[in-house]
Amino acid sequence: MLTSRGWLFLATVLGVTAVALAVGNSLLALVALTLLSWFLATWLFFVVRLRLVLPKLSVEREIRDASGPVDSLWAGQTFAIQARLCSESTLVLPYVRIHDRVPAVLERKSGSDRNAGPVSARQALEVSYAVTCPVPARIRFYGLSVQITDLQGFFLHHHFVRKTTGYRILPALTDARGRIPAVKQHNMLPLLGHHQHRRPGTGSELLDLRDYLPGDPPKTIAWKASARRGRLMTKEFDSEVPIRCTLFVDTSNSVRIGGAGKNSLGRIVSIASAVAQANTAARDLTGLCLFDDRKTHYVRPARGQRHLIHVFQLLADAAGQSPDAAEVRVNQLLPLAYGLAHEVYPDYLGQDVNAMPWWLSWWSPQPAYTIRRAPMVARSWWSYPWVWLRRLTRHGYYTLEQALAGRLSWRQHRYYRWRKQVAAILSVQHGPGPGGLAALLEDDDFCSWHLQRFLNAHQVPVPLPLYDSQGRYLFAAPRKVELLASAFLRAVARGRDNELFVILADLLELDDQLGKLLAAVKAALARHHQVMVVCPWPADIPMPQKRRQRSEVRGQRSEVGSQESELASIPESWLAKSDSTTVQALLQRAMIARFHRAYHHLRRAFARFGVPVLCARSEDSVPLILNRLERLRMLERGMA
Amino acid sequence: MIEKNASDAQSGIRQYQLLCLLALGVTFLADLQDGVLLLSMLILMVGLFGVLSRLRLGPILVVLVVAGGQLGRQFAWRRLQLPQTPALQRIGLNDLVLAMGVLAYVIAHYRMQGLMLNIVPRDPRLRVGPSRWFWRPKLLSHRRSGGLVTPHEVGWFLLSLPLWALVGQLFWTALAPPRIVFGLDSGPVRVILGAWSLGLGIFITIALLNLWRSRQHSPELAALSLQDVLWAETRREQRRINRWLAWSRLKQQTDSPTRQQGEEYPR
Repeated sequence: MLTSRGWLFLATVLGVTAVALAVGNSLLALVALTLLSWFLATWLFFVVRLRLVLPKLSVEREIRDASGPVDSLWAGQTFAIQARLCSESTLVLPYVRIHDRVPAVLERKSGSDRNAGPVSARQALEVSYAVTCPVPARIRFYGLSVQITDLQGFFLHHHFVRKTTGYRILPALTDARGRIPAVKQHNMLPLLGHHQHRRPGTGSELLDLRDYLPGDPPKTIAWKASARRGRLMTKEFDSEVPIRCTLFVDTSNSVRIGGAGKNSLGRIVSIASAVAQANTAARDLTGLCLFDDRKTHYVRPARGQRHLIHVFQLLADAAGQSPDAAEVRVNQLLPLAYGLAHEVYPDYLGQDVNAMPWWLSWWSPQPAYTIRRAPMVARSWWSYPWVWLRRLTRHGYYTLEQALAGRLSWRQHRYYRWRKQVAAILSVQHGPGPGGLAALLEDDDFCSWHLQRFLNAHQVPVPLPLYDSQGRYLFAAPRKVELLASAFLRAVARGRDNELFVILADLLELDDQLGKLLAAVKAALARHHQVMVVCPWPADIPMPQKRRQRSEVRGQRSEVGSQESELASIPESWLAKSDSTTVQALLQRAMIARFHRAYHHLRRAFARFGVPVLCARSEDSVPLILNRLERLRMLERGMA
Repeated sequence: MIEKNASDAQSGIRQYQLLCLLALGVTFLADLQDGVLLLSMLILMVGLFGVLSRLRLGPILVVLVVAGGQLGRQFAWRRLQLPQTPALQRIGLNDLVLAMGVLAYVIAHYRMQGLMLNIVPRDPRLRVGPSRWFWRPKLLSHRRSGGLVTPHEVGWFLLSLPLWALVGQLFWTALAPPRIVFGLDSGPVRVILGAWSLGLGIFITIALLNLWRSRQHSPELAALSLQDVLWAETRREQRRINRWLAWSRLKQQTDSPTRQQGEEYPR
């Protein structure tokens, strides 16, 4: 509340007043008491004004594009955001600074998200800026951060006027080739049933002639052919059916890593939305199946703008998902969570509602026996004593560390205070109840899980470890393959005509889990459906070279060994870049080789059934899927 | 439009600079009535330096110089054994004008600092540019725009000056009569009485304001407050139980065969 300027002035005035009263200097006492009474009155007016005005502050927000206010945003477009701080009180706040917290996904192009000035019932304070939405996601605005001060700068109050509003950033509108349309290509929709099917139906194209059967409509009688052959003949027409394409989109943890918009999921969603739009433009039907390692969500193939918007909304919601909670140390998350709480919930950190005794961390620091540690397992009888001794030593080390560092370290005291204050907020917001505060303070895993939930809900990127203490990858999510296989089989069972199934999933390094999925793919192929697999590819890993390029490279490196041959798929430019003997370079090369090996294994597994596997990072993945759809249409027309 | 804004900003700063100089002149003249030109000149010089150099400590220096001058005069009179008038009888219009002058200088200078230096404390995380080697750029200052200064604001500032001087005199009238308590001299008694009055007044005010604030709590904030009371009352028992539970859960996970074999990672 009191700034350093205020403290200094108050200390000076109090000192002068004390001296003046002690020595009985009337003039000096008058000056000092005048200054003191003015200061105290300013403080009282400031606090009373706050109490009266703060409940009457509100936020109005509007997002506009060129044509007016909007409820949904589109990726790749620019929007103007206006947030207004309004007051219904007759009192005036003489100086207020406001700051709008821009979601991390958005990129600010122009304008400022801060403003300052007086606020009253007649005068609102406004911020106005333009943002672009680079990727599909779901964004939330929580309100406006407000700093209120007096004109002398003695008192400062932080407040957050909350008003949560959520918006979807829908995928960008693209044409059939996956590019943003610059000009209007067609002035009218293609005819319904654009794609003929080689079955008798009610289309417009002639398919065949056959003998007239009783019950055939007279209008289908081919009179000229009947006259030539001397018997009644009937015309048969094409069955005009659309092509169905079902997209299976992986939303598991393995594709969510990297933050919203910068992860593999963003690329997958872009591909899926481009294919859905192209299908809709051709009046084909598009289905969608979102799956992760726990659940699937299936949307039946349909067409039309309404269905397309529904698909976009689902994809935008999926793209905004954060990775599920993992084992992250509480001390890594606390600065982020406390900073967020300080910004968004400053009134929840006040001493009157969320107090922390200063001596508590000294009196009772966290004991060593509640700290998670990597398990040490004896793999044989004779190693048991050695492992037991190591466990004992480690426990002694932790106990000593907590007894000394927990009491003497200033950082530990600060972190304990932060943890208590944030735990109190989490306990109220997430609902573990009044006893949850103590549980969050003492249980590291419980606290870490809730902190991640808190940060994810407020769209703050969390630093996640990819591997556990035993070197296991935490985000492989092998269960998703099983769920995908069952969802795939259900979709095949529902399929009517020849359809295209596109699996957009991270299946790298899951070779031993692919059995059920391969069986499902086999079943689909047996029913003359087409299947494609699109695999997300990390941005910092070079793409594997194509077969022809690889054979050329192999020819150049004639004397390569088995290990070197794995590097043959890495582009030369990358090898030259990482041609170093440093540990980092070696690790990078090993990682690249591992990814390429996994990709080739996956490709080989699906190649046995003639199913192509593409990398989602390549720019031609959307046209390839559309080409495959086109080929399916031609097959159905009997042109190939 | 930009030129108009710039001129408005400059006019706001000039208004407070002018008020500072005016207050300094009044203080100088009122202080000069006591007849020590050197001390009055010192106040004037320090005040001018504070205005022209935009010194953050300018108002405090002026207050300290005024205090030093008054104390110096008092001790000098005692040394010369000159007759001193009783404290209550000494206060006159001249003293009130001096008090108003000092207060006006303090207010105007601090408001000028808000216009020219910074009005809210500077955030150490916000700097003008990126850090390079050992050089760290200046902190970002948030100034109040001079265009926001209104005649209404200046008018209230000038009109309220006599009020604070009268309130100060009222306090002094209450504290000035000599009292001898427990053999203590009137000076220490006055300090103790002043400190108690101030402390008690602030304590009661804060208690009332907190009560008012608690009545304005949202349901979530009220739940937080109640939870804090519960935790403060039972934290020892809760701590013991929850540490025991945490230890037990960790032990179960460590002993779990699934975890040891690495079949499944618990979430």
